[in-house]
Amino acid sequence: MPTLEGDFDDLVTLFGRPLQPEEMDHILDAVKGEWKHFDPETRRFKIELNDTNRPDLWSVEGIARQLRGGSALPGRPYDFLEKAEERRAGAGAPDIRVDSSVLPVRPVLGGFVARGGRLGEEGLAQLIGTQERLSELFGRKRSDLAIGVYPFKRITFPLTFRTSDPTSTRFIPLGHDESLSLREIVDSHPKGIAYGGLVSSHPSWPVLVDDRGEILSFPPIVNGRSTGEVMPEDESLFVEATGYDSSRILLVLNIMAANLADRGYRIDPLLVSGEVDLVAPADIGTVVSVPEGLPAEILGIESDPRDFVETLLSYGYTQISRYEAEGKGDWKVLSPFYRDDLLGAVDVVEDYLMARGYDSFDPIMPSSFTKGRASSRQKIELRLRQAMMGMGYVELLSNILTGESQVASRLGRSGEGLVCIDNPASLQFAVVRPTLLSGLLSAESRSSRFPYPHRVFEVGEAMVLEENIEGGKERRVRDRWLLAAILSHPTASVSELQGVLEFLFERMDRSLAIKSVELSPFLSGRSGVYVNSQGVQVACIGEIHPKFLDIWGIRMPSVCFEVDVESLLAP
Amino acid sequence: MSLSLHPLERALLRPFVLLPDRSGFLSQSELEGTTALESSQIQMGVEWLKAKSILSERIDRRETVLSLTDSGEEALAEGLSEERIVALLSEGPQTMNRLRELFSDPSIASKAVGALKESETLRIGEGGMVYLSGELPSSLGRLRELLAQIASSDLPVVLEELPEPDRDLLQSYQRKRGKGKGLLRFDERSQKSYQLSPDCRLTVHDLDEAESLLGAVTPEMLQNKTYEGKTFRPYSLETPPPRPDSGRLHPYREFLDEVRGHLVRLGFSEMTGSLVEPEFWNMDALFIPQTHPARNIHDIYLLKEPKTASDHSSWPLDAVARTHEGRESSAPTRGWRQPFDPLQSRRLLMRSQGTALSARTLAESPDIPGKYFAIARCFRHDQVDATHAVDFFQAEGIVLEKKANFRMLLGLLELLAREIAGVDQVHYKPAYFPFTEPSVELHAHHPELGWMELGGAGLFRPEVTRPLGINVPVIAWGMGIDRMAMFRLGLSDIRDLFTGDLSVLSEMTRSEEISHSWNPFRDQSF
Repeated sequence: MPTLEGDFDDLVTLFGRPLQPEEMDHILDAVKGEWKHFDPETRRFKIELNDTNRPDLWSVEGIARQLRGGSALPGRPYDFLEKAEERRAGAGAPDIRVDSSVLPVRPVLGGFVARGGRLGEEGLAQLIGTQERLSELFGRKRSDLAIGVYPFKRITFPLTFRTSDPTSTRFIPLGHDESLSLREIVDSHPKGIAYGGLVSSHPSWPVLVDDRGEILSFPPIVNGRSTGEVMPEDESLFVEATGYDSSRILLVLNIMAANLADRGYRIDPLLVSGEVDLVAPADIGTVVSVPEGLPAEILGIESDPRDFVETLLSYGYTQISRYEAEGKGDWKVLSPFYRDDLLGAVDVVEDYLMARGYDSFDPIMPSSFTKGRASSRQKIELRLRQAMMGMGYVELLSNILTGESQVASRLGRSGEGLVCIDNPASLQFAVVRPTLLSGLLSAESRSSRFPYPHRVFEVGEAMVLEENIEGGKERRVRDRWLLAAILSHPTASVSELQGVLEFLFERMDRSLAIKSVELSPFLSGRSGVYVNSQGVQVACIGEIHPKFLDIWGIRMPSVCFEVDVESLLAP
Repeated sequence: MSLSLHPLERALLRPFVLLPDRSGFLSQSELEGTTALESSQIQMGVEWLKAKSILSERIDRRETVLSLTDSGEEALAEGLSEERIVALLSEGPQTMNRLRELFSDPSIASKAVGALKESETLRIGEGGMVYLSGELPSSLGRLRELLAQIASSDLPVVLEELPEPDRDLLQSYQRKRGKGKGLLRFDERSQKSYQLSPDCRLTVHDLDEAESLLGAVTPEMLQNKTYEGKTFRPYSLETPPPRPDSGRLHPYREFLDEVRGHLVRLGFSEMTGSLVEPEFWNMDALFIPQTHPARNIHDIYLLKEPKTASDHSSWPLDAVARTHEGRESSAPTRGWRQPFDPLQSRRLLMRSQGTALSARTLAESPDIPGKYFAIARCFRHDQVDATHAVDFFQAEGIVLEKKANFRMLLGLLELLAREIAGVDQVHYKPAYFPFTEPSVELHAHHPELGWMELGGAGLFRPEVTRPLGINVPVIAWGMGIDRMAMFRLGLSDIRDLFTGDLSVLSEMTRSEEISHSWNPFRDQSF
C-alpha cells in the first residue's frame, strides 16, 4: 500500500480552504486514506493509501483534488483536455516520433509540456515522489510503465524514440561526469543495475533523442545529463511516460498533468506518432452504465435520482446522462479524466455512498432466518478435546509450518512424503508438519522447569504427500487430521498412555487391537500400532527412545501416541 | 490445642516437651535419633509445626555435599579426560580430530587439551599435531583419589570438612546443577536446629491423650462401628493441600470456540477446507488480478511438489477467465483488461486468506438465504516477529440474501463487533479490496483497548458472484481475531499464542480466567 509523506501547509494550499490536523483521519475517509503520522514541529505528515486501484490519489495534489470534489483550483483550469482535442484535430507534424524499432522493446510513449509554473522545494519533492510511486507501484517496478521528467529549456523538438546499439551508443547519464555506453550503464550505474533487466534481453535498446541528436534519456532506466536535473525554479518541464499499454500511459500522464496544473503550470499536450497516434493528456472517455435501480438496491432504501447525480458531480464526476431503452433507464457516467478504476456500475455506486459518508446510513439487521451449524469436524474435535481434558491433559496449539529436521531427523524419520514450501521465508518454517509429535516433543523440551507430571495433547491439521491413486506421475497432497499426546514424568509408561488411548477409542465407539511394531522415534519392543478393519493404520503409540529424548534435550521418560482422526472415524 | 495435631507432629514434639529446658534446641540429626522418623518425615512435620508457630528454627551452619555427575562416574570408570589423552599420546603424536573421537562430546577434548597445554604436559606442533612433552600434573592423581572417596563413602562427603588444597582442587571441577560437563555436583545444605516457641504450653500428657483419638475413617471402622463412643482427631485444615493435576483446553482455542458459538447462534454455518489452495480459489475466483502484488512470491507460500492442482476439471475456469479479461457478458465489467493465464490458476499455495472458502462455497450451490463462516488457519509470507506469526487464524463469513444490501452489511458488522469483540462504538471507513465494492473497514472502540481496526467487509463484486453462479447480493466480512485474543490472554507477542512453553500456557489460562471474572454479570464475553 502506498505511503505518502508531505507538508501540511502545502496540502492546505492545494485544498484551498483551512484544514486542521485533528480532523484529517476522518476527512481522509473520502480518499480511503489513513492519517498515520503528524509532527507538529515540522508540520510534516504521513498518509497510508488503501486504494491500490486509484493511482491519482497517490499524491498530495491528488488527495487535495478529491477532497475539493475533483474541481480545478481557481485560475488553474484543466483546459488541456480541450487543447488535446484541438491538437488531435489540427494534426500537423508530430512532436515525437516513435520509431518502429522500439516496438518489440517498449512500444508506447506519450508526453506533454508544462509551462509557466514554479515547483518550489516541496512541489519538486512531491513531483519526484509521485513519479517514483507511479513507476514503481502502478508501473510494477517500471516494467509496465515508467515516467521521465526533464527541464524543458534545453530540448529541441521534435523528438525521436528509437533503439540504438548498446555498445556504440554513449551519453552522460545523470549522476556521472563521463559518457558511458548503454551497456556500461546497465552494468555499472545504480539505475542500470536495478532496471537493466527490462531491456537487456533485446539486441538494441531504446533511447529518446532530440532534434539535434542529443540523447535525452535511456528509458526506462536513466535520464541524460544534457538537459540537467529538474530544479525547484524550473518554469517549464517536459514529461514523458513509456511502456506497453497506451491507456495506462495516458492515465499516468493525465495524473501528472493534473498535478502540475494544480501547481500553476499550463499544460500543452503533445502529439506522438507511432503504431497508433497518442495525444496526452486527454480524456480517457470511459463511460460506465449504471442501472437506474442499482443505487437503491445496494443501499437498501429508495434513493433520489437527483441526489445521485448531484452527489457524484460534487465528487469529481463531470458528465452523467440518462439513457432510456425499452422502458428501462440507465445512467451513463463518464469517468473523471484522472481515473481509470471504474470497472462497472458498482464502482460508481461506491463513490456515491462514500461521497454521502458511510456513517450517514442507518444500519439494519439481516432479515432472513438461517439456521447456524458448527462443522461436524469441530463437533468431533470438541468431543476429543474434552475427553483428553477430562483425563488431565493440557491442550497445546502449535504452528503448522515447521523446519524439516523437526519432523524428519529429530524423529528418526526419512523426510519422505513431506509437503515442502518452494519459497520459504526461513528454514525454520519450510515444511508443512506431517505429524503433531514434533510439536509435543518441542513443548516438552521447553518445559523442563514446569512441575511434573506433564500430560499434553494437540488436535489439528497436518499434511502429507502421497502417490496419485489415479496413476498420475506427480504425487498429491493430502490433509491429515490428527490427535497426539505426550506423557512425561519419572515413571511414565506406555501402559498409562495406552489406557488413555483405548479409553478414547471406547468413547468414539471403536474397538481396535494393538499390534507391536518397530517405529521411530519409539523404543523397539515398546511401540505399537492400531489398524482398522480396512487395514488402515489408525494410531501409533510408544515410549520415546532415550537417544531421541537426548536430541530434544528432554530429561524425563516420555511416551507419545498419535491418532489419525479420519481413519478412526471411518466405519 | 493438642487435639488438632497430626501423629507425625506429636511424635516430633515429644522430645521437645521432654527436654529439661523447654527452650532448648534440637537439631535435625538429634531428632532423627530420638524419634526414629525418616528425615523427609521430620522435614514435613517441622514445616507444619513452623506454620502453626509451635516450633521456630535456627540455622547452625551451611555445608556443601559432594556427589559425582554422570561425567564424574565416567571419569572414574574410564579415566579422567586428561589421563585418556596422555595415554593415547604416549603411543605417539595425534591429530586433534583423533583426540576428539575419544569422547562423546568433542568439547571435552578441547578443554582437556587446553588444560594440559597450560601445564606443559603436551604441545601442539606443526599441522596441528599434538605431542606429549611432560608429565601429568600431580593434582590429577589426587583428584582421582577424591572422586573415588566421594563415590564409595556411605556418609555424605562435605566440602567444608576437606583440607584446603583439596577444596580448591574440587572447586575447579564444580558444576552448577544442570549446566556444563563438570565432574562434581555441589549441593548446598544447611544444618538447622529447632526450639519450642515460648507460648507453647503442651505437656506430655496432652500428647498422650491425643494418641487415643481416631484418625482416618476406614471401611472397617464403619462396618464394625468401632468409632462409637470415641472421638475423632480434628484435622488442621490450614495445612496447604496438594495441587491437583488439571487438564485444560488451550485458551486461544477456547476463545475461537466462543467466537464459533456466537456465529452459530447468529445463524452462520461453518465452512472448512484444505490448507492448500490453488490460486484459482484463493485469488482468481475473488477477482484479484493475476498481476496483483499479493500474488508475488514474497507474499505467499508456494508448494515445491506438486506445484499445480490436477483436480481443476470442475472449476468455472472459463467464466472467471472471461471476467478477468473483460469479455464476460453476464457480468457487465471492463475486467482487468489483461490476458488471463489458466496455468497460473492451478498454482498451489498455502491458503493465504479464508475468503478462499467463501469462493468455494459460492460455487457449490449454497442455500439462499444462507449465512456461512470459517475460522481458518492462514499463511502469509512475513518475517516472524511479535506481531506476525507464520500461520494464524482468520474469521470470515458471507451472507446470501435476495435483499442483502450495504446498510445490512453495516448492521451485521456492528452486531458482530458488539457480540464477538465486546466493543461499544463503531466507525465505518471506506476501504479497498479487489473482491468487494462497496468496501468498508470496521473501526471499533473497545472499553479497554481504545480504537482499533477490527475487520474488513463489503458486498462481493458481481465479477466474483456471477461466474460462480450466484445471482443475489452477497455480504462478505473478515475479522482479525488474533489481537482480541492476545488482549484477553494477556499477551504482547503473537507467537505466544502458539507457544510450547507450559508455564506461558498456564499464565495464559490464568489471564483468561481473570478476564472472565472482571465482571461476572456482563453477559458478553471479552
